[in-house]
Amino acid sequence: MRRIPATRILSILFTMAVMVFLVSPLVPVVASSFSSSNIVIFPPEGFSLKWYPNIPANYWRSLGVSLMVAGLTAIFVCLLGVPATFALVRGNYPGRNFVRALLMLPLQVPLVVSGKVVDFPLLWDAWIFINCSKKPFDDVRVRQAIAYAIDYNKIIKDIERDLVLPLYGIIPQGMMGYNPKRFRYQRDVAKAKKLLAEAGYFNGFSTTLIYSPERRTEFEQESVLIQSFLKDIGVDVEIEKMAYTTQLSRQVAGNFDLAMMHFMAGTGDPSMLCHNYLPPDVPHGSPQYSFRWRNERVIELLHKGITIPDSPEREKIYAEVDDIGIREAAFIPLY
Amino acid sequence: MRVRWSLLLIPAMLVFGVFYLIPMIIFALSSFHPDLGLGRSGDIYTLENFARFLTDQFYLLVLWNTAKLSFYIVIISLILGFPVAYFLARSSQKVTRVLIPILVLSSFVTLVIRAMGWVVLLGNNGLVNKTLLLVGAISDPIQFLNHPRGVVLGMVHYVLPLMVLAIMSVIQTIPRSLEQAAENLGASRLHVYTRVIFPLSFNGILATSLMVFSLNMGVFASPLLLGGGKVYVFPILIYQEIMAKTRYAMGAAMALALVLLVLFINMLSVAIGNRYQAPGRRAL
Repeated sequence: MRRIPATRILSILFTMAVMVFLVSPLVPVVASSFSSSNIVIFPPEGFSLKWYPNIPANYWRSLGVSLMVAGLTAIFVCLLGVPATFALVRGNYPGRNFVRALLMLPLQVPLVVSGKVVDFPLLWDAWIFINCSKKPFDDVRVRQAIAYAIDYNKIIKDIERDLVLPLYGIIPQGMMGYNPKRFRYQRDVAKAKKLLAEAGYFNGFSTTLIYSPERRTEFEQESVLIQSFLKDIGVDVEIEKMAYTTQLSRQVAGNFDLAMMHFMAGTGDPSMLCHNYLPPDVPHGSPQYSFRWRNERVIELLHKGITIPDSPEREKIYAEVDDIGIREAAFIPLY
Repeated sequence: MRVRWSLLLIPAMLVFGVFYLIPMIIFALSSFHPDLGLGRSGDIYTLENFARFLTDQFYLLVLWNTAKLSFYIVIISLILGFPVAYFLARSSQKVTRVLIPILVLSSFVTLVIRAMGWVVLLGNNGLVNKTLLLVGAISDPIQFLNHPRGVVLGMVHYVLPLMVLAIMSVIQTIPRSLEQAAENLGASRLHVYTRVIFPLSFNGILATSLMVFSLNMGVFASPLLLGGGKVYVFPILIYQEIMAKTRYAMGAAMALALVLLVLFINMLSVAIGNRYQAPGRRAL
């Protein structure tokens, strides 16, 4: 038998070390999926399969969609790529090298640039969530009164220095379903007071507003401004400042009255924003559900909206969702 | 005969043109409009975005740092990748059947999941630092996260499988008999590497390195997740320009500058590579 040379042993060891390096970041992730602990640590604490049955049904559907998209992409790419390869290798015609270089371009152009090609409108939004399932906010008139009490222009002019646009609804300007003529709440103290009286709150009530300055520093001043606006209609607001994670966990638990939120809607499609309206118990429901607001028509519309391709009909669906949210004052869109 | 082959290109070129080339041209043109902020841009054509970018020390410094970082990553992954590629190219199918799936699998896992794994392993209380402290190799934990070290590590991990697979296929084209001939003529193992394998695979290595370099220049997920906002690379600046400052025209100008720089470096390297190659063995 031939002796294995030292260089061969060295290169086996080296290769093994590199393989270990390649696999290493995946190990803690896979291991923690079998962990009984709520936090990701390595080595994991205890063994449990409890996470797997908890995977929400819609995640499995998403997996199906991913598989379908990947499969179709592979088929399509083969149909285009195989003939093109033959043309590049077997063919002999002017410009062949240029075409080849051109087709290699996506590999050379940095990813971030390719991403830039997909442009979408400015999507940083500031909202006040209303806990619509809690008294007195379960009464739509109370919510409308709050919406009428706030002077949106003052917030935008005095604190945001006109660098943001007023929002008025869930769908920002430039997104599908945006209706420039949608209903806009403007500050109207008399109307707000009348609505409160109709709801039975002749002398107003006390409530709390939570926010986290690390989310947006401007909230420091804006919360005080909102406090003074609501004071005008007889609503006493106690402002509570907290860490963002604390605020989130309170929202998820429904342990809040009013909550200020600043966030970016991840995509240019209205479905992502509007799905926040869905209660957690319906398909595609929002696990956070900070609205605590349930509207069967909105649920029906949103379920329809994600099944049909972009069309005037789809545009109408999101415009109607937007309109219902505004009329019901499901939340207070600031900017 | 001539016409028939080129016809096969039409479907691919159509799709490529509509979904890549035209959007790219639109994007490139948008960089020549004045940026009015808040996602608005003017109608006239101007070079002011480029002037602003080229006169700003910060942008240029970050661009230079990004190029340096990308270069280091290429070198490190070459040092790690070449021996592995050689080993795999010269191994039996039994070995490659096990190892190549590992390579492919690790490169298929999304960056976010990988970053999560690194955060767990490399944190100050992570497995790596704990082990090193335990054996007494270090007295204080090494900071990987929120530090260029972690970013380099994560990015080497990202490009290494690609590097290995590409170089492997190059080495496979070099007949083993050439190595044996060199050894028979008295060359040491080192000589076989430096005089036979390396020169013959130079083109492939250069092409792969350039691809990896371009990839590194454009990656922003790893620096963002592992650098914790403390490692500024150029793609992060572009991302911020577009997403946070909503200066679309300025972002487009920066992106175009990045593309041109990367293309220039690639072309320069290919030209240099060709100079040192015998005719008929041109790089790329």
